[in-house]
Amino acid sequence: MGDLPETRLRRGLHLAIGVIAGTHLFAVCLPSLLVHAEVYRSVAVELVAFALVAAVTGVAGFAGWAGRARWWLFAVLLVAAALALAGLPPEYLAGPPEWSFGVVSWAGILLLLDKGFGAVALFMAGHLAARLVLLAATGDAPSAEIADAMTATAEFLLIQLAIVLAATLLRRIAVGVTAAARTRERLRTAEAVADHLHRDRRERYAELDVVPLLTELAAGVLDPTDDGVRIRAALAAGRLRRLFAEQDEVPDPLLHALRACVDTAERRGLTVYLGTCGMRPDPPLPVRRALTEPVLTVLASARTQARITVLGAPSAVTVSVVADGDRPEVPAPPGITVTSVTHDDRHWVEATWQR
Amino acid sequence: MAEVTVVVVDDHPATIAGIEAWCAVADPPVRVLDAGPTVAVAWTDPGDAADVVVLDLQLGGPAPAYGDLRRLVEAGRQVLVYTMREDRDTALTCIDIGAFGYLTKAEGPTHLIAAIHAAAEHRPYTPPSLARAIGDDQRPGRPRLTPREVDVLVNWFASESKEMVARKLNLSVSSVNTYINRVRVKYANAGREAPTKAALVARAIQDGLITLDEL
Repeated sequence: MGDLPETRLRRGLHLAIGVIAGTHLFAVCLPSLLVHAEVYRSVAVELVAFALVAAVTGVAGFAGWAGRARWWLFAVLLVAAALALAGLPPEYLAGPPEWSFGVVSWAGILLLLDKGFGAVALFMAGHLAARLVLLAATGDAPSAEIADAMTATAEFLLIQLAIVLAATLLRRIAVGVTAAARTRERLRTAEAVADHLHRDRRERYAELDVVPLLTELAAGVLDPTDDGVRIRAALAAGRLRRLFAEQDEVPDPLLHALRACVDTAERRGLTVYLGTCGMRPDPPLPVRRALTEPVLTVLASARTQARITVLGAPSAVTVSVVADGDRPEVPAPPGITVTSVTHDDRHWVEATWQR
Repeated sequence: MAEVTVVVVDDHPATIAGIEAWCAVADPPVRVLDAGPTVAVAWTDPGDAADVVVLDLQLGGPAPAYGDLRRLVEAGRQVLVYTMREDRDTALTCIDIGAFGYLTKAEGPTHLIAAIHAAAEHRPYTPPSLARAIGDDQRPGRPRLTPREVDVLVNWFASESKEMVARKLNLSVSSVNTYINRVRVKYANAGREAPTKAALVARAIQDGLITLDEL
């Protein structure tokens, strides 16, 4: 999944406000600062404050990672604002040498934009109140200048508020779009998973040999009294039964699968012993299938009795089966070691999986 | 070989009838002196003279009849536990108390008759279920077995055929027997003392199955 619409929009807004703030900084504030260099208590302090505001604006607007360092940057911004005011004699608080109010405001908006309209408004109100208090406390500025400054400030703040409001509304829309995109993505994933499961089931169904067997029996191609056909049917029945057992939630899935195999054999009249020995790891489903496959094969051709044992070791599982009857052709699935021993008419087949 | 006599303690008439039928056709012959649902038949005439007691662990109550087993063992009787219980700990407890053998009811006449003959002669007989219990023994004070001995026990449990174990592990059938019997003697020599266990160990030394140094 690519960038979400919401993320892209947030980046765009930050960049746009960043550009406005940057232009304001370098096209308005810096010339004004340099022109009035002689009125400041210390030009160096003003320049440091300017650099800090510029840095915060740059990081929050262009690098786009204000999220992680937001409150650190905010602290830096407050320090910068304090420095800018500290270097300014009180009588110029409302005059042209005061360069910082607007850009500190922009930088604060950048930092708080994704905290919502309320947070930005609170910041702007706080910032304005602090300035007014400062102005009233020092009270050295000429009243005509204060009136001019107030008008300019009000205009400026209204523009900023309008921009923030627009940004907030856009973001709300973007959140909706993002949610829709997420839902679409989820649906696509669910569809892909369902497709995969369906394909899996079809493959397993194909492995089961049930349909061809039934078709051939129905068409009379196969003779049900033939031993080979019976063995094939027993094998198919055992695999079906095992497949059903795989869906069950049980503490010991391997033993559960073996019980399923035994069940079909017992229905054919076989006497089957099933025992376990020792602790063992839990093999995953494909391994369980591979381990039980030799058992199914041996059981399918067993005549009267079978003995199935599960032997555990710390990192290995062996499924052992001893049965009478014809010597079966035992498959050796990949990843499994199969050994067999025959004595008289008894066949002993062991399938081992090493973890 | 002389006739072996047994007394059967089991509360299921069908089990008693089955054992009697197996004994009737056993070779060498085995005679059932008496049979009944409580352990009293083993203590009273004619059962008190039997060479071997075949004891069901589950006699009516929910708890295994360990007390009855212990009293019989302390009186020097050769007891074969013959039970439905398949779990490892029950088997190991019975062997520790001094039962001569432990068989599950899934194990048919082949093992039961062989075990009766072995018990009458104080020779060990370890059926697959007992081999499994010993091979999987996790108790801290258990006798030490060699990896080969464990291997033989587990394969004996899996295949129930000493010929196949021998073929698989490239041993002779008599070596397979020796491994299994030596383990059984190690167990008789461990844990609590009992006259039956001492008799089994003594017989094993006599037969050259194991030496005093090895114990």
